[in-house]
Amino acid sequence: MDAPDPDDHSLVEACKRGDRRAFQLLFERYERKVYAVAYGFLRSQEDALDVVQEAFIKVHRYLPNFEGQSSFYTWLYRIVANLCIDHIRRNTRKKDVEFDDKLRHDGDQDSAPAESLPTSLLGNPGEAVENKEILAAVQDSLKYLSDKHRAVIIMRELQGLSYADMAKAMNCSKGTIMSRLFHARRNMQKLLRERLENLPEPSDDAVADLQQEAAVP
Amino acid sequence: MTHRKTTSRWLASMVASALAVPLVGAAVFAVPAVADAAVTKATCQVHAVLASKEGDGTIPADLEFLRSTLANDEFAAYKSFTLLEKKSLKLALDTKGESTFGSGHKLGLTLLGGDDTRLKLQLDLSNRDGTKSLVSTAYSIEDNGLLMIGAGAFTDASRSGKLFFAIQCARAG
Amino acid sequence: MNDETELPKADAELQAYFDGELDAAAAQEVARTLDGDPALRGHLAGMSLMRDLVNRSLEMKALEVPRARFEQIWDEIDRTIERDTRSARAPQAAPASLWARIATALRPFRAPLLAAAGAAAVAIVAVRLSGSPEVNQAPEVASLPEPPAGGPASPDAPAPQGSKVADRTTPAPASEDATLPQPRPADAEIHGIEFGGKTGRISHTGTVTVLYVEEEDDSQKKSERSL
Repeated sequence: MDAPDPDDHSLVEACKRGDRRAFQLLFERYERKVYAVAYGFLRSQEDALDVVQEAFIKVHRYLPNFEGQSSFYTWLYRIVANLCIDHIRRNTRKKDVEFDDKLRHDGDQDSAPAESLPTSLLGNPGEAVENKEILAAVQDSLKYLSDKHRAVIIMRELQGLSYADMAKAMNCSKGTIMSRLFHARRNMQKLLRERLENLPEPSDDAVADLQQEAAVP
Repeated sequence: MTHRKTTSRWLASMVASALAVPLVGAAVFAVPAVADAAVTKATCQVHAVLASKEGDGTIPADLEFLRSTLANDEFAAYKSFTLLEKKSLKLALDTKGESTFGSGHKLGLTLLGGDDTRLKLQLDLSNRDGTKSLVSTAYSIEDNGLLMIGAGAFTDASRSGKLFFAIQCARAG
Repeated sequence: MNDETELPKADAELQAYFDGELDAAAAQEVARTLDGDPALRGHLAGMSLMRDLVNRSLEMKALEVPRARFEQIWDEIDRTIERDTRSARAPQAAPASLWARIATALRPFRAPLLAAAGAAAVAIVAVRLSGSPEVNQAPEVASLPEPPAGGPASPDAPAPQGSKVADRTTPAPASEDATLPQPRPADAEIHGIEFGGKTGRISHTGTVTVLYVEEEDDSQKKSERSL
C-alpha cells in the first residue's frame, strides 16, 4: 500500500476553507483507487462508480469533522468500505439473502495443510503480476469468493485497513476478522490454483530464489 | 330556500358562462387549429454555450432566454456562461438540416412530425472533425421546447469550460 | 472450523506478522521462526504474491474505466456540493428556482391547465381580432433580447417570403434571424438514442433534458494515469 502523498493534509486543510479545486485534486488523486476498492467489493462497474460518487460527497460533507488522527486515505477507505458493505447488505436484503459467506463458500476450512499457490507463480512473481491470464484468473477467483471473504480480502490487501478498522466496518470482533481473513486467503489461493493448473512449472532454482527474497514482509 | 335556490342557479349560470366563453372560443377556433395540427415545418435555434467554473454567475444578455434553464441545479457547478455561436435551421418534414459550428461539431436536425403541442425530431451530433457520431437520437419535445447537449470539454485561445448546445425548436408556418 | 472459530496460534501469529499487526517483540519472535523454516517462508511468499496479484488485477480493472466517466462523476459531485453550499447559505427559496418548483407542483395538472389556458388564449385572440386587424400584437411569451432587424416578431409569424426550407441535408445559413421566445420548461421524451462517443448519459431535470456525450479523444487523453 503506497504512502499518501505528503500534501494530502494541505489539500484537506484547503478543502476545509472551501477550496473546491483542492477537493477536485483529492478526487482526481483517489478516484481510481476508490473505484478499484469498490469494484473489488461489488463486482459491477456501475455500482462501483456510484460508490465513488457517494463516497466523495460524504467525504466533502464530513470533512469539517475530520481531525486528521488517521491519514486522509485511511479515513476515505473506511468510508468506502462502509458504503460497499451497506450496498451489499441492501442488495442481498432485496434478494432475501443475508450478507453472509454461506454462498459460494468453498468449504475448505477443515483441510489441514495450508496449500500454497502454484510454484509457477511463486517462481516468477514479477511476471505473474503482469500476466493478463493470471490477472483474469484472479478476477474470476474473487468473483467466486463469498461476500464476506471478498470484503476482508479487499479491506486488507487493497485498502490496508487494520484488523480493528475491519472489525468495526464488519461489526464483529477482531478475532473473527483474523479467522475470516485466514480462511478467505486460503479459499482465494485454492480458487486461483484451480484456475491456473495448466500453467507451466518454473525451475526449482527460481522457487528457491523467491523463497529467499520473500521471507521478510 | 327559494332565494337560496335562485342564488345558486345564478351563481351556477355565471360560472358556466365564465367557463363557456373560452370553451366556445376554443371550439370555434379549434377547427382550423386541428386542421393545422400536423407539423410540416419547424424553426430551430441552436446556441453553442461555453459553461465555465470561473466567474461571478452573471448570465449575459444574449443568453437571458436561457436564464431559468441555466439556474437549474443541473448547471449549478458552472459560474459563467458565454454564447459562442448561434445558428438557426428551418426544417421541413423528413428533411435534414445541418450546421457546422466553430468548435468543429456538426449538428443535424430532422423534423419527423408532431401534433399541435409537440414536435418529434431526429438529432445527430458528430465530433469535432465530423468523422464520428457522438449522439444520434429521436426525441419529442413540447412545441418551443429545449434540449441541451453537454458535448464535453472545450478550450480555445482565451477560454475553457464545458461546451453545451441548447437546441430549441418550434413549429413554423 | 469456520470464520468465527479461533485460529491455531501459529497460523494467527504468522498472519498477524504478515499484516504488520504484531508488536515488535512478537514480530521478532516470528522472524526467528521463519529463519529456520523455509516452508513457512514459502507460505509467506504465497500470501505476499496473492496480495500483489489482487492489487494489480484491480488496478488494471480501474484503468479500464474511461477518464470521461470520472469527469462525469466529478461534475455530479460538484453539483451536489454546489447545492449543499447554496442551501447552507440561503435556506429560503431562491427566486430563480420558483418557476421550476411551480412547474413541478403543477405537473399533474399540466394537461387540463394547458387546455384551459389555450382555450382562454383563443378566446382573447378572438375578442382582439374582432376589434383590430393586427395580429400578434401581444405575444404570449415574453420575447427575448432584441429580435434581429427584419426578423419575425414571434415564431407564430409567417416565415419570410422566399426563405427556403432546408432541402435534403442543407447547410443552414450561419446567421439567421428567427429569435424564438423563451423555451418552455419541459423534459424531452427520448424515443431512441445511440451514443457514439466514449460515454453518454441522459439527465431529465423536470424542466429540461440534458444529454451528455464525450468525445473519445477527450476520455483517452488522461486515462493513462496509473493507480
